[in-house]
Amino acid sequence: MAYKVIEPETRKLVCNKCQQELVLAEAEASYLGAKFEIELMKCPKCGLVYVPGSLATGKMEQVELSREDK
Amino acid sequence: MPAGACTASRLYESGMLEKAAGGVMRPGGLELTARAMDYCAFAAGANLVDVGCGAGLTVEFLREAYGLNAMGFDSSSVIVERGLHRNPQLPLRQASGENLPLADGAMDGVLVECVLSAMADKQRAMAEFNRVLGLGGRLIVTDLYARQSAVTSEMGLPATSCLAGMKTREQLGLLLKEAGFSIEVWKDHTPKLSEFVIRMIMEHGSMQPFWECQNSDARLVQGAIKASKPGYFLLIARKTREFAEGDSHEW
Amino acid sequence: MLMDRQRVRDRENQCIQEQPPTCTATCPIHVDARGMIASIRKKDFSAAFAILNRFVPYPRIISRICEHPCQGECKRNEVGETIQINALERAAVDYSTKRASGITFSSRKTQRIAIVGSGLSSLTVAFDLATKGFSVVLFEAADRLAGRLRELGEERLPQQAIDDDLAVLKDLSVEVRLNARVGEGADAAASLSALTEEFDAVYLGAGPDGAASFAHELALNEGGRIAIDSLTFATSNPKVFAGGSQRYAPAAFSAITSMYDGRYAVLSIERLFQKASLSANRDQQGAFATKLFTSLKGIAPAGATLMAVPEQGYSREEAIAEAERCIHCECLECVKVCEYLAAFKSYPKRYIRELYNNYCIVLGVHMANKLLNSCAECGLCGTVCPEKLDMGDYIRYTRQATVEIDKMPPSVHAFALRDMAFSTGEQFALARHQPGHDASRYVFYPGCQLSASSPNQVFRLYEHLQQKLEGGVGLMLGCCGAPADWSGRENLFKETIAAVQKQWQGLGSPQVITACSSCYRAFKNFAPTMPIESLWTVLDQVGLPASATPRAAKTVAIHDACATRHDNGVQDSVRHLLEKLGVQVTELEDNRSLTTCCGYGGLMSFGNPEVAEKVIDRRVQESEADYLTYCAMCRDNFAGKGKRSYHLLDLICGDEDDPARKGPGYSQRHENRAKLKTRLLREMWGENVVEEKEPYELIITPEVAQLMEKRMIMVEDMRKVIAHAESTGEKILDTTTGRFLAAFRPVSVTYWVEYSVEGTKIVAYDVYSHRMEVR
Repeated sequence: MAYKVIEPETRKLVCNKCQQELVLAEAEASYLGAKFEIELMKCPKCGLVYVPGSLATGKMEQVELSREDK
Repeated sequence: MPAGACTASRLYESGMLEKAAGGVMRPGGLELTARAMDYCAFAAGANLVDVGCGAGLTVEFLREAYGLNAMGFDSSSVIVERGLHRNPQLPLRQASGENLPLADGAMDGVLVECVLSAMADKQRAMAEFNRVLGLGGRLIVTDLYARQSAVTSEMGLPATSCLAGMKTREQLGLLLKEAGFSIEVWKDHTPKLSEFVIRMIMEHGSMQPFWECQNSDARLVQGAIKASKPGYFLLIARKTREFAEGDSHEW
Repeated sequence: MLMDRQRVRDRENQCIQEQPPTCTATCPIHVDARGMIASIRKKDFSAAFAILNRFVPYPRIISRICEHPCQGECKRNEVGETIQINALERAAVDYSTKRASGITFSSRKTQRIAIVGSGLSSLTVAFDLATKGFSVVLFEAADRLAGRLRELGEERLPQQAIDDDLAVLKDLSVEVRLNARVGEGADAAASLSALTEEFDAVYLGAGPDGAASFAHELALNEGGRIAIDSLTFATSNPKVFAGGSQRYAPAAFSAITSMYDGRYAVLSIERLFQKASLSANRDQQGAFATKLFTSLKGIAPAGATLMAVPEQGYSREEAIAEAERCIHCECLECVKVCEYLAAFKSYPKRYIRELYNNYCIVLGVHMANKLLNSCAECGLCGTVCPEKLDMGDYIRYTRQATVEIDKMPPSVHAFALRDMAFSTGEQFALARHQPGHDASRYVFYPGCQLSASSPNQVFRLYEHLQQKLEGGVGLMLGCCGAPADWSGRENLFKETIAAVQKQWQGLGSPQVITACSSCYRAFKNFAPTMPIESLWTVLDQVGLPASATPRAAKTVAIHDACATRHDNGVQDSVRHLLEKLGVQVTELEDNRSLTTCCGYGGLMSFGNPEVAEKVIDRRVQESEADYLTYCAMCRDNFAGKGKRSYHLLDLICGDEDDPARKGPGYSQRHENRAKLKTRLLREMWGENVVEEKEPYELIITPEVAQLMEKRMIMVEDMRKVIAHAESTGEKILDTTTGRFLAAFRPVSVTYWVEYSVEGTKIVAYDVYSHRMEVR
């Protein structure tokens, strides 16, 4: 159900607080009334989400602009 | 394909919409179809036709989830091929909505999902839907509609672009009435359209290809959208009389 | 405050771009001569003929014998000789490869009209009525149609041309009865009264002498001719209309006037059938004066193209050459001077409508608000427009309305408003009396951008003003609120100005001296109780500091700040100062009231960076000389694009004199303002200011700094993320690189930083942001 928006992560990312490796999981994104699910790397314990730069400046920005009517 | 000869079918044939709507090429996906089925409560084995069936995902869904005798027609042989390649058992065939290879009154239900706006001769299509349905049969339509003012020819969109074919609710009401239908349900599902836009971006990076497929000038498309304020609707109607020539007025 | 429809319509109508050119306005039947000539210029004679035919039912006849009143008013008369419009019509007829444009029929109407005579007015009535679907019967006493036209001579009007034109009557199923005189007597085909019985209307086009037959049935005028209303072509019989040469006799025969009579008599006949007023709404019937303005700037006078063989009219090449001489009248004065108006490939009338539609409908479409947020609100268009239409004013109004209905996209102006919030916040805001004084006769208001670009100059100026002015010169640091005004946030703007006024009152309502022209304008217009003076005017009066030295011998070109557009006084003061400094100056052609914005005004650089760039590029190319301006943003923006630009204060304060220096980046601007305040508090008011020491040294490479500028992310944002990550431990370790990835969302934006910790140093590698919330 969640959109696959990132490339498979080759790095080993570790949540500093929980000392747990981040895993691919569902995250909820929302902006100006629109909500949807995307797959991102998340800490299985505290839920910390990693948003990569390419996503933020790419598709996320496009969705933000489409919601804003900019 | 010659430059500028962009029609709705090019968009559909590109396969882009398929991926975007969770496999089904339209806002709302199968969710609205399911809602309509729940309302109509067709008996098992009822005859249903999906007009503009694409690769047959809806036909498959109706056959498997509801046990209906669903069949599909699409004007694009390319897409029908793709569907048959996927599942050779599906009753899919190439045909246009204005001219269905079905006997009079043979159908219990006609599904026209996100395809009416792209049809050039809507009146003829409606007459055809009326013809193939038995009296009391159901017509289910989901599509874009113009919430503000109708899209006019001055906006410069090609006639087969689904944006150009958008009608207002009033126009749709008249279209159905003249074709012998009585509307039982009308529901606005515009949030599904916003979701669809987001899906398009998530799957393909931006809406740009969609604008370009409508017309070579993205600004014209956006201008037309601005004026007409597209929304999305689901309507369910019942055939209450036979359609006769001379029933419809000048559009 | 919803947008007022009437106001929108008034603004729309102020734009004259769609007004007809003089040729069309002067022509009694408003032929689109400009369009026809444009087709000839493109060598498309068939298209030209089609255009002519759209207006003129008998193009071959008219192209030979029209009196061409249009040529008398053609604007080309003012730069040489009139365009030979009539000769070009003949060329269109002669070289068109299509016979006639297809006639579109209206649905059949029931009414039948009788036409008496077959002169040009009658023939026009026949054509117009038939194409509108009416049944027409034409009575001609002679044995052929258009008798008088046939007597003009083969060279002037060939018989073939007449026949070719008249062939259309057959296509239109006009019933023609020849040898059918209308009048009294046994040999008459019918009497006028019989016609009025049998038909629903009658048109009399019987020629200058034809009236005699009907003298006893219709009222006559003083000249003994049938009384015909010159506007409605009505006679004393409500079913009978008349026109043509009998109406305008004793004046000579005029083909175009006869055609005009016929055309507008048909309008009357239609109104008769509709039972509508005959005379209402006919103000643009016939020739009228157009409101269109067309500049003749840069057009060299030229005479008409000559015909090698006059009897044959223009050859193709001659016609094209003559068509190229046509100015193609249109206004577009504002579009010529403004990159924003040009960028959207249209003109104000259309923009105003589009902006209003967008406001009414407001859709989920990317780019819908670009048109709204690209304007600098600088007033240049209003200055050059013949009707003084100021798009900036309308846009300001529309932005406010858009904000009011909560449809202004949040991210467009967010950064500028944040910058403003910093300036009105703790780190910069200040309102004090001069050290050692408890009253202020004056207060210096340097503005937020000058303080960001050149904090040292602000310091020096304040010192100078204290020396030169008596009674105490206070100091107020803050923002006048211009960004709020430009972004359409009326309430925020009002609050900001109110806060400034409160501070000003707190200081005893002194005379305000502004360094920035935008502040000057904001206060003048929206805080009229505050007495304002421009810094330049004050310096002109009190004298310059000793540091003031002219720079190099070479000449500088003055770029006036756009906010001073209507302020000659400020512009003069600047020039006096330059004179005093002994600087050689040159004036740009578009100086003073014709100056352009540098891209900062209206927050254009945020709303549409591409257009802002075009604006700057265009302006800096207007002169080879170094520029001199008295606005910090102008200087920074020009220098940012490689144009050597001085700020007037560079010469006055004698420092920072490298005109090629680039302005500080966003983060540096905040830092400069904050540092200015702490320096003033320390050095001027002798206060001990404790500065917070950063726990670590943040290393930002030039590449990362550039990235931050591009993405409009500040160093303080980065520090916030790192502070949050380090204090909470909420960060991600990339085990392959040993770097950390962390995020923090202060208000409505999430900032991400990739960094590594090396002892007391933190090195930043990447930084980006998003507005979406993700969990």
